[in-house]
Amino acid sequence: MTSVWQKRLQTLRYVVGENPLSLAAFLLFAAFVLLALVGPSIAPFDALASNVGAPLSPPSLAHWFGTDSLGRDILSRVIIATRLDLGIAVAAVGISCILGGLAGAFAGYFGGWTDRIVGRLSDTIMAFPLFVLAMGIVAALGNTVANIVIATAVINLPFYIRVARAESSVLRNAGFVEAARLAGNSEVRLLFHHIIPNILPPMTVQISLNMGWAILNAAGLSFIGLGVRPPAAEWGIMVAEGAQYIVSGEWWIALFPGAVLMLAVFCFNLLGDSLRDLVDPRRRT
Amino acid sequence: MSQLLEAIDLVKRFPVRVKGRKKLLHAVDGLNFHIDAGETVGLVGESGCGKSTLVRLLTRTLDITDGHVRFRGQGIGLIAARAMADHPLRREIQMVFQDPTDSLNPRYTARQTIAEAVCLLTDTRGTAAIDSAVEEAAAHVGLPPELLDRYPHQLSGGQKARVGIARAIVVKPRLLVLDEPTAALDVSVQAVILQLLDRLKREMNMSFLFVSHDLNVVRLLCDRVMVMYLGQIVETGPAREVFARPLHPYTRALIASLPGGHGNDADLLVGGDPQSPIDPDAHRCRLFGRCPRGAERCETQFPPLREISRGRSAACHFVAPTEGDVYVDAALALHQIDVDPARRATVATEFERLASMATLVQAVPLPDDSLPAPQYRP
Amino acid sequence: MSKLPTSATAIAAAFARGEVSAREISAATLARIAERNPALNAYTEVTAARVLAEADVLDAARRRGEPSLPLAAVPYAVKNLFDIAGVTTLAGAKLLAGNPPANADAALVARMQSAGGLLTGALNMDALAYGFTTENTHYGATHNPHDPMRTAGGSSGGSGAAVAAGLVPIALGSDTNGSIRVPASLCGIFGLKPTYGRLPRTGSFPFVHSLDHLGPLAACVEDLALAYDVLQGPDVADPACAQRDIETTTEALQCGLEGLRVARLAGYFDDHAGPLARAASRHAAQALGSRGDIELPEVDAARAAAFVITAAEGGALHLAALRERPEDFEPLSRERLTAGALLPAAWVSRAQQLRAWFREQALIAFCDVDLLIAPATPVSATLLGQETMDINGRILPTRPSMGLLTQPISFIGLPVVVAPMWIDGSTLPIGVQLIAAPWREDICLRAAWALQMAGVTAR
Repeated sequence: MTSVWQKRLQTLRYVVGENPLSLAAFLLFAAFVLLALVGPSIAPFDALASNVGAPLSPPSLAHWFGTDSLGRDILSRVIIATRLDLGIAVAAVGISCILGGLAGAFAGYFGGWTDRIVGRLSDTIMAFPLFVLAMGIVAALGNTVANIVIATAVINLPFYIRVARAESSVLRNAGFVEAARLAGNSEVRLLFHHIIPNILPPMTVQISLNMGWAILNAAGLSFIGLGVRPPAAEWGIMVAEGAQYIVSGEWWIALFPGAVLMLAVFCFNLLGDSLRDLVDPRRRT
Repeated sequence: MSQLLEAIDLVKRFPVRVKGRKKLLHAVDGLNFHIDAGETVGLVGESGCGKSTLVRLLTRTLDITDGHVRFRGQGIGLIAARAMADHPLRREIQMVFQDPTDSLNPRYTARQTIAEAVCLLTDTRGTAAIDSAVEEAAAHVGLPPELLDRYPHQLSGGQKARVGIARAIVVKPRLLVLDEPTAALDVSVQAVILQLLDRLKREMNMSFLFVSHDLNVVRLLCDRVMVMYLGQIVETGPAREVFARPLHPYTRALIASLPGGHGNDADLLVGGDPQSPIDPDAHRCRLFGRCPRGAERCETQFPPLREISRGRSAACHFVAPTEGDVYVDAALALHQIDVDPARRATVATEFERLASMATLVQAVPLPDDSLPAPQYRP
Repeated sequence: MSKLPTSATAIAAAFARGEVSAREISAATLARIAERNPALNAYTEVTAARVLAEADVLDAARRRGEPSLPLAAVPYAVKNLFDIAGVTTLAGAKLLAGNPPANADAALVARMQSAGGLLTGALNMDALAYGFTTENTHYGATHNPHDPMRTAGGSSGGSGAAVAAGLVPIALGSDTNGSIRVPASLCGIFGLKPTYGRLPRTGSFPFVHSLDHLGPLAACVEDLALAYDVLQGPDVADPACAQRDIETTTEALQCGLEGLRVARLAGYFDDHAGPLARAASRHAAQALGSRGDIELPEVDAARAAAFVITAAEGGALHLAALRERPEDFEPLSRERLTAGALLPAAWVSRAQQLRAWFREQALIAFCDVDLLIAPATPVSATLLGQETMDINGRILPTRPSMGLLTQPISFIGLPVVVAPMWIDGSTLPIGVQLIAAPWREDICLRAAWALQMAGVTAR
């Protein structure tokens, strides 16, 4: 079925070509993914090695981003952190999206008890200030990367549940759903083949916004000392470490990780719009 | 067993809340009818009469409240709507929807939409066999094969309608229900799709149940027509005859309101709102209050649907077999001409037409001694 | 290739002068039929062998120096309810398709042959002659030569189309309620329905004994008169034939309108005619020096009575077949015939009485006029398959309503010639009926001749 892939490639090219911003977003995304994948190999210095340069030295030709208090090269640490931060975000959002999406879709479609249970779960989560809840979960389960992922996933569930449930309960009355029943689709098959594919467009926007939020969340937890422990390289920790030095004039320690963090969030937000165009055939002509 | 589908005392009630009290909406209220193999039956009624509900009861996408539905002798009324998708009879009853745009999954190409039914409801397997079935159905509905790989938003209204029809017929159902298949289309496209349906009706050996609010369309395409009002069937008969000689006051009103000067203005419904389908009065005719013929009996006694003459039924106290009907039945028997109910109804209508011509002749006063023109010449 | 003469009169004259052989004419005619008939579906049978055989006989007779015949070498065709020796008489019906071929020619066919005519074949018609549009489900519809999407009229649709398309100059048809006049009107040619009882019906398949007429159709008045004169004459084998002497008309044509009192029929004949038909009627009236409009009484009742008699006698004729072989009938007419067969005798009898009375009223009118004019059809040719038409704001079923204006006239057996007219701005022809008192076909033909000479009937 090479023609299908050709068509997909064509649409990709079209969507990307139509809007220069989406081109920028894709390129940036590609850059981040590349960094995440091959970062360790291209980083000039070992991210964990101390005293590869003079501590607290400003950006220079040898160290583009300068060095931190332990003499570690900040550029290398930023590059290495990409893998961790992106990894956490992807994993958290992935789990959240799949579990929340499925729960919401089932709840919106079947209604009744399924809807009530899922609704209560979602309400419970939403009752807490989400960041505090995340803090609580990590504190309770332990300070590991895995737990950051779980915590981030849990606090994002309500968003996916809400979107999926709303879309699904509208779609269950659509004509093509009834038509699909007549074509022999059982209720479950209907959900997976007809309802869920059609709720993907609004979900993908949510996903990509969430990615930015999840990165921020992980960075935030690390910033306050929960989650990632030193000496691991992670944008949040690096901003935390650099925060104390801003007053004394060593601005580069917090700025560069912060800037890259901001760029990553910006990139995912832009990506959300482009992804929706890619996934929703109606937006194309 | 030539009856393909039979509905017996079919009932569907929806629970509703009116001003905080629980009540029942009688959407379909005790229907009795049948559809024979190879027949095209029209179902006519205004919006809100329950036709859409009835259609969903028959295609089993909605559970029935009471009564029976039999398909080829087998009871299908008790099959839960949710379980129907997996039932072997699913492929035998298919439907074409009113809004072609709404009834197509926007993420499926036309080919995928049509192929899905083949994959799920038939034993056809393998890309080649499935594609061939899809293309055959597309050819039947006049959809060019190039359009099969397009998405719904890339197709015109008429093309989408064709996809909807192709999907329904690809599994070769015995009964095809069409729920106002042209209502959402432009007038010019409507004519084309109706011609297509007419051709399909003649080419494929399917029974059609054609639901419409447009009596003109039903008259042209259908063998028999059922007229529905507020959840009940008020008249049935061969389509041409019901149109030419409507019996029930509601049918007469429908025809009188058609543009083109059919029927009598005296037949139009008199003012007043239709009765509510919520907890209706069981001892009163549903048309009472709007019927130009209403009398005391209509308010106290419910008129059941009964056979007026062979092939014609009506639910009204004031419709009775005419002398013409009785005469035709007796004369056909005398001449030993055996005709089925539909043909008998047509003969009766033609006879009425000739009778009215004879009345015109009788009305001319002739001198008492007038003789007919001599014919026999020795 | 020299241009061969096309009109019957010209062909007979050219043959007599030795300018052309019957063989040439017949070969050219067969070629024309082969080329144009498939699009029209006018013929159900082409009798090629017979044409050539008859042509050879004529050529041989001429070589022997025998005197020339009035229709020598003139090709013609007949509606397929006429018996043709060796051909099964179909009458447009699937019902009769299995019958053995006819033993002998119909009386009128024999007369055409004796006059030198070359029989090219049998023409399509409405099944059992019950129809006004020749939309025959078994043998196919016949198409109007002026617009293939439209009907050629009926029930002698094949006759109308064959002459209008120039396949043959003369065709024979039958007219019970309008079946010669409607095709003549819709195809834009001349047609003659003679007085009831003038031409013998021996050897033709009947429809309604009380109302059946046979007659010719042609593209010009001289051909029509020529054919009519050949067809005239008593025949004792037909009890309905009046056994009158031959009263030739070809020489009388020159008299034109001399001394004729002309009036136009209004009332019913305007109410049931569309704007084009009324325009044609007025235009013809003006060209013929009409003195004004007159009305006949109770025309609606007359038409109704014609309907009743048609249904009763037509139904009775086919009663056995309706009982035993209903599936071989056209669905549209089958139930109508059945209902007709059940009509009480008192109603049919009353209709016959009305007929006598209405004839009296018409004869009273003919004391003051010699010729009456009315449109032949309410509208020009309708589309094949068209179910309804709008006549002055009333929606009427197309097929039965096409004969609204012809039915009351044939009901009382008056002679009628239909002359075609092309009204300004119309792409389709429409005919007018030129009606005279019984046995005065000569007056109808003279009026038609006058219209033709004045150019009124030209395109």
